[in-house]
Amino acid sequence: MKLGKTLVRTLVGLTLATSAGAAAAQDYPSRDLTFIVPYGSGGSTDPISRQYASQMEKELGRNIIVQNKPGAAGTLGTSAIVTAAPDGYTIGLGPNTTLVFAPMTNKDLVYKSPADYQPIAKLVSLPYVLVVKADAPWKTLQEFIDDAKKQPNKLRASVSGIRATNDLTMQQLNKAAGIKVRTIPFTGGGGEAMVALLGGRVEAYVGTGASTVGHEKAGSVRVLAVFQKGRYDLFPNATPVGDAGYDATLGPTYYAIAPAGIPKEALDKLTAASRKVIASAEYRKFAADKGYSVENMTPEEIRAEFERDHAMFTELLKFLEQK
Amino acid sequence: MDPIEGLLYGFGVALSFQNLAAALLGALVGTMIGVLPGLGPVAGVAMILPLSYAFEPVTGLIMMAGIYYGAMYGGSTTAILLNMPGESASVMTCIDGYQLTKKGRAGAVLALVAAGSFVGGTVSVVGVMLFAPWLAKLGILFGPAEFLALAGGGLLILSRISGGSFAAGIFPMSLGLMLSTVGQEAITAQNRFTFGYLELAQGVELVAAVVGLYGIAEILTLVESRRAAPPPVPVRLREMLPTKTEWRRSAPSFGRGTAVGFLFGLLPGPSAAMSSFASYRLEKAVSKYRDEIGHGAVEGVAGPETANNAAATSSMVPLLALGIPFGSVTALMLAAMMVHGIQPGPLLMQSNADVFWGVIASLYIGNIALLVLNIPMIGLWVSMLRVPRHIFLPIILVIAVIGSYGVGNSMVDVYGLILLGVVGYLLRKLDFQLAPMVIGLVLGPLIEKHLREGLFMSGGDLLVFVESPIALGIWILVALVLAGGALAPLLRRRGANDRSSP
Amino acid sequence: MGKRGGYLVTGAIGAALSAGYLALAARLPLGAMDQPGAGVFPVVVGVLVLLSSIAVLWEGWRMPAEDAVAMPAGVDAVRVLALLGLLVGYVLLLPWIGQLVGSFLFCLLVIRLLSRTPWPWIALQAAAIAVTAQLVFVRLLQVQMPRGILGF
Repeated sequence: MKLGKTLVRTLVGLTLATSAGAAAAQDYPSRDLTFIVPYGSGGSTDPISRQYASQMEKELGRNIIVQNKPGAAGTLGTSAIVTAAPDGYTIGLGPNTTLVFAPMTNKDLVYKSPADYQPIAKLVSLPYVLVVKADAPWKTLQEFIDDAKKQPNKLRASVSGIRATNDLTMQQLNKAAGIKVRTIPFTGGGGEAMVALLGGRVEAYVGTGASTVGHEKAGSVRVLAVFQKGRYDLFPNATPVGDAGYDATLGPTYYAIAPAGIPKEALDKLTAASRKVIASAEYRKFAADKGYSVENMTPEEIRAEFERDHAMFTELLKFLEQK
Repeated sequence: MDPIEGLLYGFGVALSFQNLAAALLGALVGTMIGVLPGLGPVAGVAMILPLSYAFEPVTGLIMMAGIYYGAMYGGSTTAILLNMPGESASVMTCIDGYQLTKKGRAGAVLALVAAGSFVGGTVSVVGVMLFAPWLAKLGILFGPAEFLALAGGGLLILSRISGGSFAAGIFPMSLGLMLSTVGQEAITAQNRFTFGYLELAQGVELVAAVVGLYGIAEILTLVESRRAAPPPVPVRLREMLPTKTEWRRSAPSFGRGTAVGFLFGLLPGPSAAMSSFASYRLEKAVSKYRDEIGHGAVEGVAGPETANNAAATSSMVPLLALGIPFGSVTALMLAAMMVHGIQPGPLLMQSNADVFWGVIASLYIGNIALLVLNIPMIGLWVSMLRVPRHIFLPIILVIAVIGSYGVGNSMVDVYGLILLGVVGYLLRKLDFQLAPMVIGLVLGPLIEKHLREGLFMSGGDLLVFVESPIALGIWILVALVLAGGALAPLLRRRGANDRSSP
Repeated sequence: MGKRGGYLVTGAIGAALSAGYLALAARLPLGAMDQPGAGVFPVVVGVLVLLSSIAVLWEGWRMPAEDAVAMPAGVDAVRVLALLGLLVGYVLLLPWIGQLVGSFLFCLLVIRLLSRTPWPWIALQAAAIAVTAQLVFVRLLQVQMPRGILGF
């Protein structure tokens, strides 16, 4: 079969080479692009991808087919992007923990470090929030932390999986504040971690603002803190963890990535188009409506951010192994 | 707004031309999708999701709801006619449904299923409307302990659901459990039994497995004979309708199925499939004709099919009243709401009354639409049996392959489809039961998840699983059912002896 | 081979499968009581498969030797195997030749296998199935089938 594949590829390569001639990289993009989303349709990453892709279509003058490739907590689709032909015609969405943290613990992954893929743009980032029930005794982040100090391993926070992003965020707080709040996994996506809080099976919940805001408005939960620096517009009264002196600001961040080694012309066109899209009023409004923050970054800046994340995760893993 | 006011307002929303069209179209497209093997409610709603962005939010949601229960109904059609369930919720329907088709009662069974789906759906909507905010609390009462009792106890009770010898049930069930552990597990993201192949990390896709085990296996069995089996005699209208006896026998099953489905729909997880398993088991336990179930009794179809449609409807409760989707389909509906900037949550009823009451009113309309659309279509479906085999089989196979691929955009699922087709074919030859294998596949991940999450929660204390009154109650019920199952034959024999002896 | 043999072989395969499965499961982390790891459930399941395989062997052992299994024979067996072969070929080639061509070829051969229809007529039927599937699923419902080297 391998022979067949090679043969077929050669044949196709020949056909393309004769028809397209030497007009390779300069004409990029000369056909439609594929944008791989490593989650199922209906995830929160779908609107982000569709917004970005539809605006990129206008910039590049080509169609972009958004393709969902869910499975294995995003690593499957991310691997599909990384292993695609490095011609600039297959790009996709990469989440920060899947890109940087997953290869540190999962040795089966085809990508091992940021050298194995090419960042294009930082699409959006959002913070997690720390939520307790409305009738809980803690009114502020500090009260929660003080109480957690008094009774180590007693307080529990529901997260969406052990070593999932929101678990890591809570562990950052454990490490920074010197407390021991147990994280309890409630997998299965559909908000079961929030149900665990509402049902009183855990004392706190770490999750996104979008999954919380409805319950907060209904008065059933209280948002103690937001895991970022600076105020969060969705919950203006929540204490920013980063400003309260704790280094715990990990949140889901989504990047556009390509396989490593795509032609320079393609990369330049993709980054230039992305810059325009992300700076556009339309994109900014989309992000603001959803409670996402947006930041235009060059591929080099993104790589530097990956380095910082990698160092942070290394420290965090050390902390987790000590426990 | 009280329910009556709300409903009137909702009908105002739902009866607008475009929403009415969306409900009808949804029910119709849903039925079609459900009929196709390999495409079930989840695939149907997922496919329609991008299209729904173009509509008003209410219209999109109404259409998705229509597709959901349409597909739930349609999935039973191939199960009954061809012994090929479209998804796990129709597996139980195969057993008696296909037997009845062989007896020439296909039309009647389809009519009973349409009626049952209507009853289950409509009674459920009334429940949803009157008690949504209150019922939503029931979902919150269920945590790991309660679910372990439900899923673990369910596994114990269901291992022998479709009869046969002890090994014929337990062996496929344990194979199903084993298959369910392949891939990346959710709690600690560890790859298991993937042999380093990343593509295996997503695990065994349930739809592909069910279509393979039943559909592909059935097709392999069909081509064993040189000629196609003679098509059933053309069905006359009178024969398509259930007899009075059939109606009378189904009525209690409709009632029980509705109750079971309604309750399961309120809970997280694959509630439609679980409710159909539970309903079949209940019919076997309490129906007057329980001894016929498994050999072509209408109760064995009417119960589970009513249950899965009731569950599809009541699963709107956690979505609408809490903003928490407990299943894949409602998760997609939630996504559709979020795209339109609707904030799901406990306040939906106040903040987006048009969405809340519009969707509820559309459920009434959709259920009627389903009945009206499908009764005339029964003749069409039954005539599928008369399509020449050499045309029909390739169509089914192509659709099964596309459907299995489409769920996760992965060829691995397609390979699994074929492999399990062969396994299903061979196991059937040896009279092993396939339903327990599907039950193992469905319940395995739930048992593991709730067992481990419960231990995380309690800090390793096993007592957590029996401390809650609900969990304890379920375990006691399970023990009673198991004891009853073991004792019933003895008691019955004694009863017979008593009567025979003067 | 009768049903008894079938049971004995199935039980033996099941036992071997469970042994391999348990060997792999033993390598997974068991965790602690308050943090149960990924290996706990597979170990339980592996033991269950082993026990149920023994149950199959036991039932097979006690089965009368004359119980038969209705396996297809001769031409019938060839037909079943041919269909299976076509199916396997279809799904293996699908990623390279794409849904449209793949389904067309597959339907062509299956219809020929199951009927005596003349080739041109078969080609028409197969093309109708493949094109309809393409229009309904790929165009209308946006199932992202492998596109194949020809681009569709």
